[in-house]
Amino acid sequence: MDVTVGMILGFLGIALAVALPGVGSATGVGLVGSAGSGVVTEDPDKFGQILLLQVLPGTQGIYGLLAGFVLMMKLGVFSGNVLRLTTFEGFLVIMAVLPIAIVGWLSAIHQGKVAAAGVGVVAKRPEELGKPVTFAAMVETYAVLAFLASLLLIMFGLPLKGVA
Amino acid sequence: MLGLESKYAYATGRVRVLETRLLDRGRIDRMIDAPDLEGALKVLAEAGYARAQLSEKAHPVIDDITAGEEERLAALIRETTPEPQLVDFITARWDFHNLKVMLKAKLHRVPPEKAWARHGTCDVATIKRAIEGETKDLPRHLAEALSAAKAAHDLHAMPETIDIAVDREMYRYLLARAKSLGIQYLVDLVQMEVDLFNLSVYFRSRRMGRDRGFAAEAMVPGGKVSPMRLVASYEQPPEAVVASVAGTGYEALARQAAAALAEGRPLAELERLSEAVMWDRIRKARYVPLGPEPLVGYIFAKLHELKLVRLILVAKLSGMSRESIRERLRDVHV
Repeated sequence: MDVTVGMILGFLGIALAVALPGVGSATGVGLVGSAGSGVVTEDPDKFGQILLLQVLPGTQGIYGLLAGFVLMMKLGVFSGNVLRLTTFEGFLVIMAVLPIAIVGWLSAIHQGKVAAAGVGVVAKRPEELGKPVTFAAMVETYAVLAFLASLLLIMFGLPLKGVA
Repeated sequence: MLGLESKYAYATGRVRVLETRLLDRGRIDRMIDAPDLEGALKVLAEAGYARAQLSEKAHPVIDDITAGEEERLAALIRETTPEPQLVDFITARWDFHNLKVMLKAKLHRVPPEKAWARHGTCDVATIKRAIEGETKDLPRHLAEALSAAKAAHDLHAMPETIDIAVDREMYRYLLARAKSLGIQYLVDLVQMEVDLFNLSVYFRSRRMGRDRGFAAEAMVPGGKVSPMRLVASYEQPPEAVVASVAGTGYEALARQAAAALAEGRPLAELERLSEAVMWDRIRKARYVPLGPEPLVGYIFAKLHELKLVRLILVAKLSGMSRESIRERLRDVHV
C-alpha cells in the first residue's frame, strides 16, 4: 500500500484526538487521586465521596477516544481499506480534531484542580459534596462543547475522497 | 503545568482533615473551664492528643503530651512532603530552642529546664557537650549561634541577650533555608517573623537602655522592613517608629508598642500583637486550594496550638484561676 502524506496527517489527527485529552485526564485524575489519598489516610470513610470527584476529569479522555474512534471509521481503518487522503484532506482532519484535542487536554487538568480543591471541601464538610461536584462539572461544559464541535466536523465537515 | 500543586496534593488532602482536629475556641474554653489539670487533659484526649491519658504525674505529663504531638507533626511532614528540607526547617527551631534553654541554664547557674524539645535534628547530649566546650559534633549553624550567644553574653551578662543572639542566628538560618526551598509562602512567613523579631529587638533594646548600635547589630536583615529603616528613628520619640513601618501592615502593632514604651507599661502586648499579625497571614493558607501553603500553614498553626496547650496546662498545674488564664490568653487566636 502506498502511503500518502495525507494518510500520515490523518493518523496524526487520530493520535492527537486520543492522546492529548488522555494525558489531560490522567493528570487531572492523578491530582484528585493524590489529594484524595491524603484525606483517606486520615479518614477512610470518605472514599466513596472522593471517588465521585476523581472520575470527573476522566471524561475528556473518553471524549477523545470517541472522536478518534469515529475518525477511524471515517478513514476506513476498521474495513482494512484505509482511505488514501490527499495532503489537503489530511490537514482538514487535523483541524477537525483540534477542538477536542486542545480543550480536552487543558480542561481535564483544570477540572482536576477544581475537583482536588473539592476534596478539601469533602474533608471538612462531607454533607456539602454536591457543591464541589457542581463546580467541577462546570468545567466539563467546555469539554462537551469541544467534543461536539470535533464530532460534527468529522461526521459532516470532511468531504474525504482520497486519491485514486 | 502543575508543579508544586501536584507535588503537595497528598499533603493538602491530609492537612484538610487534620485542620478539622485543631483545637477550636470551644475546646480551648473547655480546657480553661476544667476544674483541674485532669479535666483539661480529658479535653485534649477527646481532641486526639495521643498521650493526654497518662495523667498521674504533673510536669512529665505536660512534656510528654507536647513532645508526642511534636513527634506526630514531624512524622506528618516526613510522610507528606516531597522536600526533606522542610522537615529540617521545623526541627531546626527545636534545636535552637534547646540551645537557648541549656545555655541559659549553664551561664546563669540555674537547674536545666525540663522544657526542651525532644525532636530536634541535633540530639540534646551533643548540644550539652558543645556548651561544655566540645563543639566538633555540633552542626555549623548551631555552632555559630552558640559562639554568637556567648560573645553577646560576655558583653551583657543577661539571659535576654542569649535569647536575642540565638533567635537572630535562627532567623538568619531559617530565612536562608526557606529561600533554598523555593516556597514563596514560606519565605513570606519567615520574613514576617524576621520583621516581628526586629521590631521586638527595637522596643526591648530601647526599654533596656541599649544604644542604637546594639539594636542594629541584634537585628536580622532580609525581612520586608530593613533594620536600617527601623533604627533610623531610634533616638527619636517612640512613636516615630510608626512612620518607619508605614505601608507594611505593622503600623497598629508599632503604634501600640510605642505607646507602651512611652508610658513605661510592660511590652507583653507586643508579643500578643505579633501573634495576631502572624496568625492573619497563616490563616490565609486555608483558602489556597492546592500547593505547599496548606501544609506550611498547618505546621505553623499546630506549633501555635502546642504553645497554647502548654500555657494552659502549666497554668492549670499551678492552680491559676480561670479568669487569670483567660486574661493571659486574651485575644489569643485559635
